[in-house]
Amino acid sequence: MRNWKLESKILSRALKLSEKVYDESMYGVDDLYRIKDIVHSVDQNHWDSKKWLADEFHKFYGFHTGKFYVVGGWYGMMAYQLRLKWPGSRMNIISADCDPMCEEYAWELFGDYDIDFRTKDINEEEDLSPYSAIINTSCEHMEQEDLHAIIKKKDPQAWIAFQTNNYKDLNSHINCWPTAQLFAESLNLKWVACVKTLKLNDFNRFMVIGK
Amino acid sequence: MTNLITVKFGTKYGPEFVNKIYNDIKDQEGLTKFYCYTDDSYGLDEGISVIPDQGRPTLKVWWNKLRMFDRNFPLSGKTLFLDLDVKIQDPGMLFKKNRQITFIDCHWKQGKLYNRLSNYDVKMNSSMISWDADDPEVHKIWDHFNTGFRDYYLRKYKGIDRFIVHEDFNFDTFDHKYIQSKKYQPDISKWTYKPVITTYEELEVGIEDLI
Repeated sequence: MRNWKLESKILSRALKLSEKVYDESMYGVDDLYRIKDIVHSVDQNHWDSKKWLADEFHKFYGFHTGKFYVVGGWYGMMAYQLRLKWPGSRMNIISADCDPMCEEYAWELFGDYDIDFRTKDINEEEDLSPYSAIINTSCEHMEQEDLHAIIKKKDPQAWIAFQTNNYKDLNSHINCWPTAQLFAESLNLKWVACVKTLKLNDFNRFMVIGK
Repeated sequence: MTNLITVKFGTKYGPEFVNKIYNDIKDQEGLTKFYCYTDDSYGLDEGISVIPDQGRPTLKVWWNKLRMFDRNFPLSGKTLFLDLDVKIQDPGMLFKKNRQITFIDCHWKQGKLYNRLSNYDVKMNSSMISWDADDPEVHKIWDHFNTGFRDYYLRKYKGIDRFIVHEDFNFDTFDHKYIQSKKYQPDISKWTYKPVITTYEELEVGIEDLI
């Protein structure tokens, strides 16, 4: 049983954003599915799994300073959970996604949390060495070779905190794994600090933290 | 002259479904070459030209049909695609020319639902598609899919039919007389003409249904 509450401020903003998407659909871009997507991004599963990563990673990282890069950051929930654990201004948090609408909507949801939201495809990032950690909770949506490329491009001392799942029934899930251990082994990390499983309602989420 | 192509990914349909279509049309005068785009060519008849999985981006099941519109896909000229659950009734009529990319008009889908502004389901399907593989307008479909929105499209749309309609691509539809929908038009005993194909959309199909 979780002992924390979904932030009503964030949920309220998600509602206002949904209203904005609906208004836009009447006179401009008609994309009502964004409402469903925004709702998904703040639902219980995503809130739980992002918070889980931030809590676990906080135990290992050990500093108040650094530069975190969130890959496939969607509408910003992962970056927000990191900011709650690292509230100081000396922790720089970047959240990138290749979908341009993610940047726009992430600013609406989490614009006052000192997070740098960007539209960027991780494969276009030549150099990840400036970052002290690469966080990616969208591994199930990404090619395995792209995960390896991220690990190769990062500083050898930089952390990775990756999540995937075993929910294969969605067409956008192209890189699921049956167990956390197999996922960890697939990444070929030099050092693994943590391999864990979070049991959700009808699937499992897997997390690997290491270098 | 026209190429015919089928797409077989995953395990739902075995090679016998491809071989059945091939044997139904291999002696037709209008046929240039018979292709199968597949991740597993085991069991396909010798006369079938295999186009292996084209690699990134990884796509699941029916989304691989969209790959046929890639300008780098190894096809040229007039092309006809058939789903594996289609029964050919009149092979001689399959190779009639169409001006632009052409799909099946699901004119049997009637009711207020389809007139809603926010309607999600569409009144076309891609069980049979005719197009020119060298047509730059067709290549735009694949290019449009492969933007930063690709993952979003995979979440938003159940399949390529909805993607093509809701992303506003232009297309023609085959003459209604060409198509029988087994689900919506099960009895064609009073038809004064013979359909070219029978589609089994949304129905479970065994090879025995297609003989």
